[in-house]
Amino acid sequence: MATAREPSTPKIVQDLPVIDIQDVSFWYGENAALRNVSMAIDRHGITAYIGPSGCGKTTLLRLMNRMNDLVPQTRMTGSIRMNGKDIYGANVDVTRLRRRVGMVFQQPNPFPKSIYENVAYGPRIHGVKSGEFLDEIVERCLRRAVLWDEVQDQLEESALKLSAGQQQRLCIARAVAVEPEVLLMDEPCSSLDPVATSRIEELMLDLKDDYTIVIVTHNMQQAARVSDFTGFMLEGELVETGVTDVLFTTPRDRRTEDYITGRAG
Amino acid sequence: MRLKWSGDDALVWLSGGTLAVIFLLVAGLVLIIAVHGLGFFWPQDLTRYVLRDGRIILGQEMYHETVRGVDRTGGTTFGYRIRVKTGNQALYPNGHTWFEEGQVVARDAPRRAVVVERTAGGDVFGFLESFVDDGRIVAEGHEAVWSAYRERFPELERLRRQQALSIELSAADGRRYAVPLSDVLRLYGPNAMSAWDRIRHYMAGAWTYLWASPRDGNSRGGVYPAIFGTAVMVVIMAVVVMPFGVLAAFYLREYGRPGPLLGVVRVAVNSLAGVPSIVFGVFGLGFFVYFLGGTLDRVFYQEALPEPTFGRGGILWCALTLALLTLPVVIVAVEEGLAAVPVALREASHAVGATRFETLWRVVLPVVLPSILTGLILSVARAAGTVAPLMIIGVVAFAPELPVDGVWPFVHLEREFMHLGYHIFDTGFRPAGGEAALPMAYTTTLLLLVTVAVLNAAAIGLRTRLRRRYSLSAAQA
Repeated sequence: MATAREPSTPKIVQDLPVIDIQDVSFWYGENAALRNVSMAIDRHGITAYIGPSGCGKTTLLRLMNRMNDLVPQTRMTGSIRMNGKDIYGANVDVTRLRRRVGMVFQQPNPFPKSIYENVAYGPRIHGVKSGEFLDEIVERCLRRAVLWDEVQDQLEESALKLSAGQQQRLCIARAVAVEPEVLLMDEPCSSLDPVATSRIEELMLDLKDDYTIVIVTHNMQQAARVSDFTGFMLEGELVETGVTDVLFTTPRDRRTEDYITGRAG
Repeated sequence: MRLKWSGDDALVWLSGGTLAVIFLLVAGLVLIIAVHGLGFFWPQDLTRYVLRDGRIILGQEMYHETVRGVDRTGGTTFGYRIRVKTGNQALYPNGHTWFEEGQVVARDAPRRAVVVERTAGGDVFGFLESFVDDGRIVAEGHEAVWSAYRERFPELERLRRQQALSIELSAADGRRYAVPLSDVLRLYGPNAMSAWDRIRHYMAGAWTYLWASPRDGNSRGGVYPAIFGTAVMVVIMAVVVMPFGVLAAFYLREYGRPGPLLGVVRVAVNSLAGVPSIVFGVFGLGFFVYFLGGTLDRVFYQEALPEPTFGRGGILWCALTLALLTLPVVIVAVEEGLAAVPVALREASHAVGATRFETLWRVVLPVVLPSILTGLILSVARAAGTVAPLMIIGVVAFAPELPVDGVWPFVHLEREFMHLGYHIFDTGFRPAGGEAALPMAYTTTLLLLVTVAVLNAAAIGLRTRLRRRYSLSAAQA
């Protein structure tokens, strides 16, 4: 575990897209969830996937840290590369991959442990034993998630006592505690009220200097507010990708236009 | 206008009524057991009945029941029949007698009537006549004999070995009867007791019951060896069944690939719960006692053969058999707990790079801990109350030695032992002790009931505390 963020990737890789999705198709049993999706995700930006429910955007997100490995009877073709290396390759250590590609879920899902233990969980797993060092990580990550001021006096209290918005920020703190490069966010605000939502959005904008953020949302305003790049998905296909402002103002594809103007989806 | 008939109303009454009936039955059962069980130590008054046929009887009323008769005009009459415990089986066969209430001419409670509790042969009721030392009367009359006894009471244990001392009593009808002091356990006059005396007597009786060994064919004395035996057996059972049950449930739910094989295993486990307990006993006898025990004997206790060491019933085999019996209970409880752990928690753990094992150990296990405790509670309650299979693999009515004692190697797992459940069966239904032991069956039942209730309450309390700590729903509250 590194104390400060160090460039873990060689200079030459810095120019590559962090995640490069090439021609990915995916099936749950017999049902195709993704069809020939290709997209490159750039470093230090926020990429948003929008689209109606069931369009495959969450599935795509969960392929980026191999979370779908846990789902039985699935099949994938195509390749996903991270910093040029195939994450579905033969010698990939999935736990190492997931450490580098953190995830925040739709529902806040803190562990039924103390606030402190929630943040310390990842570092502990990866071998941090020193209490002082852990204290430092916990404080840094809680500050990073703009939660420190609210919880610094109740670190030993159950995380479940926090409000939903605080819990979601705690989950972000937990995710960044293992120093990932990429942070996947699966509709992180869908269960939050508007105030909590805007706090998370501010946090995302703040985090993008250090992390590459990929967010799935079906709130188009949210995508427009926070993201740099947007991909629109429909029925398992990636219909259109582009710089957010451009995609929202001058969509090239008719289906995208229908969706963002509210005529479909 | 009639309101539309609603099926709900009927169902509310039906289901509510069913619940009420069940509640009343359970409450009634507990009440009967509690009244009889707790009354066992209470010093009951001695009543002297003078009957129309001239008999005079001193004893304690046991039952009072209604009898229906026919009078001269053909009408129905109701009377009462009384059953009186007379004690002293030498003078009164069976130690009790029946008569109709109508026969009683007079009754009173003589203050000087005493009860002599003996080490064997049951109680003797009567009046103190004389205190005899080696054929010589040293005291005569109630007061004198009483104080002579009182004087020697502190050294009763030592005097027991001397055969010379005895107390002579007279029965209600004047017949004399001598009780050697070596047989006397306690002497008391219930009719002359104050309320405080009675409470002290009661406490002493309850204390003896809990901490003394049984005597007089289990009809008297205590049940300490049975409490101890039951506890030791249940502890061994729990130590064996918990790891097996928990690991099996983890495999079934976490590692086993869902498919027909897993389904078959699950059905088999559930069916195991439905197998009659006596079948487990037969299996225990065949597999544990004869096969495992026999093999152990041949390998390690060759010198003792043909006298078996492990090749006969013993506490270890009983504990293992019960572990098998309660295995499904634990597996089902833990499996349900695992199924209830939200996928989101597991994913959260995986998402920071935890392995499957780390997720199980650090996230899933704490959350299923209450379920594991539930499994433990259920299996312990089940094990403490199961008797049938044990009767053929090591539980006995009276075992002189405890399974754990001060003799090397201190833990004697091959020993036969006493069990509360079997004690109930033995005192309540075995003719050996006669009806004299029946009241004790209630007391032991109550004790077993209380033990299981206390165990459950303790574990439920612990579980509630754990749940509060690891509660998954607190966030929504």
